[in-house]
Amino acid sequence: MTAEITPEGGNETPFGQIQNLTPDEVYGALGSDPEGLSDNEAQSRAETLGRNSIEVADNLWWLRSLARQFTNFFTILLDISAAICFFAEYIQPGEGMALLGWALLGVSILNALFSFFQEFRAERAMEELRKYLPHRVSVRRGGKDIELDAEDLVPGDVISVREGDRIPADARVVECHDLSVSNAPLTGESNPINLTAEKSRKDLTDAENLLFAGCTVLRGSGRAVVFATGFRSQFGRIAMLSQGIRRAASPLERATGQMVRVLTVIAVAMGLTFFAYGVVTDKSLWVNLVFMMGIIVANVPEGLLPTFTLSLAMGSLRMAKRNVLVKSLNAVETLGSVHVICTDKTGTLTLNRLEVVRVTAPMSTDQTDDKMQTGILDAAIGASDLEIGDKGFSGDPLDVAIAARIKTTGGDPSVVLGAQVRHFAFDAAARQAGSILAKQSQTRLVVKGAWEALRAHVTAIATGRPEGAQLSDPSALAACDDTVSELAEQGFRVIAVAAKTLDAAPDAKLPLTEIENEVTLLGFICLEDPLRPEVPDAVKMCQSAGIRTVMITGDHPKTAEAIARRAGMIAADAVSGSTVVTGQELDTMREEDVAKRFDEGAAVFARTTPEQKMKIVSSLHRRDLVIAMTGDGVNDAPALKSADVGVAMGKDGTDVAREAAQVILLDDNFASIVAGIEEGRTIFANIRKFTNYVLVSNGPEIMPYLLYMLFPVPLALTVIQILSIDLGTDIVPSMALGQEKPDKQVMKEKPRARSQGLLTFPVIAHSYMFLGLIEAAFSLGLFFWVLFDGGWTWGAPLDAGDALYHSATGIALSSIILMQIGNLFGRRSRYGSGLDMDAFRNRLIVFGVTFEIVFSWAILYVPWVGTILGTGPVATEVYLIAWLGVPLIFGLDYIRKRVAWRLAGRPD
Amino acid sequence: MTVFLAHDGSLNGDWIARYALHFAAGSTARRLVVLHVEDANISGEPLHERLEALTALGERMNVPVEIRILPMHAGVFGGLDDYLIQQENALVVTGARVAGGRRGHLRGTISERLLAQNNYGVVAIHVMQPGLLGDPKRVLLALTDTAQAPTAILKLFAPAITRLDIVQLETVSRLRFTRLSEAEAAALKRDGLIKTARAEKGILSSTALTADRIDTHVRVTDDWAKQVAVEAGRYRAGLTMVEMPKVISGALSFGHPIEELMRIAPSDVAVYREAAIS
Repeated sequence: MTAEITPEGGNETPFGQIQNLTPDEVYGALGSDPEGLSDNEAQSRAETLGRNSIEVADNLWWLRSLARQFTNFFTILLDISAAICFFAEYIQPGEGMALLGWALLGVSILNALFSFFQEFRAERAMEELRKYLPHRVSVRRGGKDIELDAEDLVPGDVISVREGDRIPADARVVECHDLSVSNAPLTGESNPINLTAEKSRKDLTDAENLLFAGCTVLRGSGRAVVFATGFRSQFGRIAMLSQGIRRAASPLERATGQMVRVLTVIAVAMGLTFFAYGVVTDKSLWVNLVFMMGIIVANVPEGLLPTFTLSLAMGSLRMAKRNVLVKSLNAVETLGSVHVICTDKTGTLTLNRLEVVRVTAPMSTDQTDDKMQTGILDAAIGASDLEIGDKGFSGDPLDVAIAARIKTTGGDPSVVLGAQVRHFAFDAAARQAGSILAKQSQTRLVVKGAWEALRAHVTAIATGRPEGAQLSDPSALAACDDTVSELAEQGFRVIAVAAKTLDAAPDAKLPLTEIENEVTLLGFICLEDPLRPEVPDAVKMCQSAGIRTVMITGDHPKTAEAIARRAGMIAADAVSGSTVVTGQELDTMREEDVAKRFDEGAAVFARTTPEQKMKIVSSLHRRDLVIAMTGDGVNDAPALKSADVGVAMGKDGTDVAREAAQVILLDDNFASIVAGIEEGRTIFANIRKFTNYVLVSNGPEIMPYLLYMLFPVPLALTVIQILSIDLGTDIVPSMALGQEKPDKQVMKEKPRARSQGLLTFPVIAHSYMFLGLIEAAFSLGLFFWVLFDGGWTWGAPLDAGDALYHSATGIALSSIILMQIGNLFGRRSRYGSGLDMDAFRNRLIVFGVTFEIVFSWAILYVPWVGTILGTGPVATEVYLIAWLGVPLIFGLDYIRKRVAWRLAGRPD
Repeated sequence: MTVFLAHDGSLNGDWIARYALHFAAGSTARRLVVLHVEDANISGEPLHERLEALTALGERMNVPVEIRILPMHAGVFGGLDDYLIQQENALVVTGARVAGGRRGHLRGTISERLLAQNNYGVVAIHVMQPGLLGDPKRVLLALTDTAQAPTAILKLFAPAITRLDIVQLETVSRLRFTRLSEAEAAALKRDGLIKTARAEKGILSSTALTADRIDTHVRVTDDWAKQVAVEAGRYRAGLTMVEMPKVISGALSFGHPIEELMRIAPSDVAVYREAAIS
């Protein structure tokens, strides 16, 4: 059976949208008329269509956000731990459990509040967007012009606008008096757009008879009929997307979430299993509760997540020193896991200033000789409109660049400018500017502009030879065409310069177009926005780090490609144009096709609009890539929110972009993004180090409870002692590991996959089954040694207040803390010893180790510490033997590392 | 197929009529039958003017407009249903409250009751961008697990569509969403891609839409309505099409995702039910 695919009727669509109608039809279509809506009609529409506001009437969003932060897995876990502490305090007061409960609760609240404030900041993007909309607006209602709150506008309202006004809603122009607007907030293009009231055949977003909310009237005045308000306006869509797009959970959020879940499941499962075992074996409820609580507390690394936060906060400070301001802490690490950087060109890869880089003769692409260059530059500056101020020349950047070039060649632009008797300002339509210069008895016309504009007037071509200019025949003009084409392909902006001698000053009323016939082409000036010098190295670093860089620009494809080649983003042997995708192509491509072009090596997206950035992000997300996207305009905000890391420009960006982004580049420099990535990767590596470090102590914390449950032995470690490690001695060393400097390898490895977590099987095996077991065996060995030495016999009951018990638990705790020193140094390097001078330059390591040493001693020999922790002194030689744990764990781990290093093929 | 417009005599009805004219222009009958049930609220001169203007618009667009004033039969719905049930191969274009407020946009409306019927196809349109004049050009089709692509409606509308973005929404609970692993998300997306491919194939084989005008996407979400609204913004859709779920038709709650979508969508929204369209 074949399906019928012919439309049932004619497929011609005689319909159109509001821009396709005549002004008279507009009123009819929107149920309005030139006298405006009546108050009743407007009121009725306001009730049915809603207010002209981009604000969501959700006054309780903050409450929901707060509730969400307090109900996430980690917070609940900390709260349960705190509750257990309070319960223990209730059952057996005086052991300091309440204090610990408060400490855990404090950590939980701080974490939740911190996350809440992160989310709260997202609202500020909306605040910035609102600033683009006016508060009051002039409206015609019932035949009278009145002023209203802009939020009271409804579709069908007739508004008046004039120079300087911000536009309150999308509206169709029905009366136009020299009206010119800037649609920069929507398009990113600052060029003025001249409007008309006539009907247009263009699309809604391109039509020149529409006013758009958030944009500005630059000149003139007019009337327009509102057709879209609030979130339905084009500007409202940006606002809605800026607010509505939820950034996917960062890789670190996912990794920590997974880790917390795994550890919680292990902790709770173990706790409940052994609670049940205790019930079956007739242990008392108190013993069972203490046991279950101990197992849970021992399994949960209470100090780990606060340390994460601290580590990320410190990382963000380091990034700030490298001109990368991070607004969201998770972005610190996300930046490190980036697979693709989608970057703007102007200002990020380039310096955002024009520079004359070459001056050529008409039929050559090479730099011309000094004499000819002087002639071309003098004519060009003569055709310029520059002002000389305290800070040098000011005016069009192109003219300033030419003046700068003249000065570097030893010339003085002001001499030529002084000879100007008349200037023809740049005509955007004719694409040229000119001047009449009078020097001594000679009068000259000098013209500069696009070659296509001047070509028709050129009758002679300068050769630079003594015999003078040659007549321009078709072949000579074709040669000039080739020159321009070749220079443009190299990414230059090419300006043609021509001149002719006048017999007398022409009539002052004559336009340039009527004087410029029969000019002599002097040559071409090649300008470019130079590449930032640090960019090629930064791109090279990205390549070695397995990061793809993609340029997204509104510029011409040739210019963009040339810059990308110079930056090293396109391989030298890549066929011209093969790695470039234009905005026009992008419009017709499916997202999957865009992703395929990326797979095939596309590195430049040229002539694109800010809206297309979102399409690029969505396409690359199909490949599960982590994307950093730069942006500076209002319309970039949705793309910045769509990307995994939105990077806004600190110098030239808009506040909206800055608020929508997670990262702000203080110097707008691409190289700073790469520096940020290096920091981000270092932070993840460091987080992995201290996670591994912290999990090791879980082994000796869990083991005593298992022994206590299974055998008739005293409990070697109490809950408070466990917490003194997790929330005490482990914290500073963890922070120290979080401060470690970037490893040499950090930018030589491929970015990690999105799915790679923190709690991998190798980490668990290494932490629990290797180092954890060593610490457990050694500390329990000392525990039983002290017990047996003190007269305890296997199976004999031992009171919790017994001095022997205090000494035994004291040495167990002390030895674990000391062994963590060996563990700390071991974690500093994957294959090396970790013992180098840098270790002692990290002040937190020095402080952490000192604290561990002092604390391991104080546990045993400072009475008030012993009272709090339920510990007591041991013989000095026993304490000294506990020190052997340090080289023991360090040495055994080092042997493992060397074996691993050999198995890994002896990497650098 | 014949296209019928249930016009309540309001300005909103005029805006919906523009969509109806589009559908009618694509139908074999190429005519629009406007149905109005005599109602004390809107009648007389204003109604006459509106319907006359609509007829004139139809003439300009080469779509003859026939007006049928129907008597009430146990209310407005009964009047419409009595008439429509006798029509063969009918598509009824109707509207939703423009601003629902606490009442909702579709809840308790005639359109909601029409959408619950199986004897004719229904598309209820919520116009929020009157400036589009029923010519959205870019359309977003939001599909869920059970939703069918509205091929019969798209067949009528195809000439007016320059871009159709089909988004398959894989909706999971909030609890699951926050814990979704990369592997689970990838599996959901793979499933979604299969569904969108199937929907696209169906649309390509039965409408005049061509592959270069269609793109497909999959999103995993825990908030269907918000996600659809975001996608409508992302793809600059003028019209978002969603299917009326069979299980709840006739009993939409204020908090139902379709009601929520109508509150927040930046585009016009069409809620369709094509079960009866042959």
